[in-house]
Amino acid sequence: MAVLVDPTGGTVEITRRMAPRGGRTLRGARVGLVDNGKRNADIFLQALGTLLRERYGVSEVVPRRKPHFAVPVSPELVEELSAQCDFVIPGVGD
Amino acid sequence: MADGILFEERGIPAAAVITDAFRRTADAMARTQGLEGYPYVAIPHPISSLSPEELRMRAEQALPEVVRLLQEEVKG
Repeated sequence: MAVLVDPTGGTVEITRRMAPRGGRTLRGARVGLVDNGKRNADIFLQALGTLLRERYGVSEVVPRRKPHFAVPVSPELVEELSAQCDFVIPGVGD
Repeated sequence: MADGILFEERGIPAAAVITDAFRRTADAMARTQGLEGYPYVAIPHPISSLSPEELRMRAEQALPEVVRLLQEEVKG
């Protein structure tokens, strides 16, 4: 019988939780947009940001771009946007 | 997905947007990142070839789900 072996070694059990929404609303909120660097991600996110301002009373959108889509958002950017923003929208491709 | 989860961990509600060709990858990533079933918004693939007007329409279509994921408490 064939045996499948995980070549990546031991698996680490991590469990994370979503942020509580707790009735937070978009009205007056600041929303970070994290563009993953793929083509048109910026234009799509800008359009989304405009709609959020026009229709949901979002006060400010903060656009940022990752240096490369394959790398996670940097700890510095997580820190910056977490300090500045109430919500974040990461995206999008291809 | 991983990015959204990093912000969630910091207490910032996030709505990750992907194109629907990446559903499997997104689901696997959420599992790997310790948040199986993390909800996201999937828009039709691809977007790289669309005009600005078509992108605006995609944003319009995605908007209600983005708003829902940002504001509504997720059960389960």
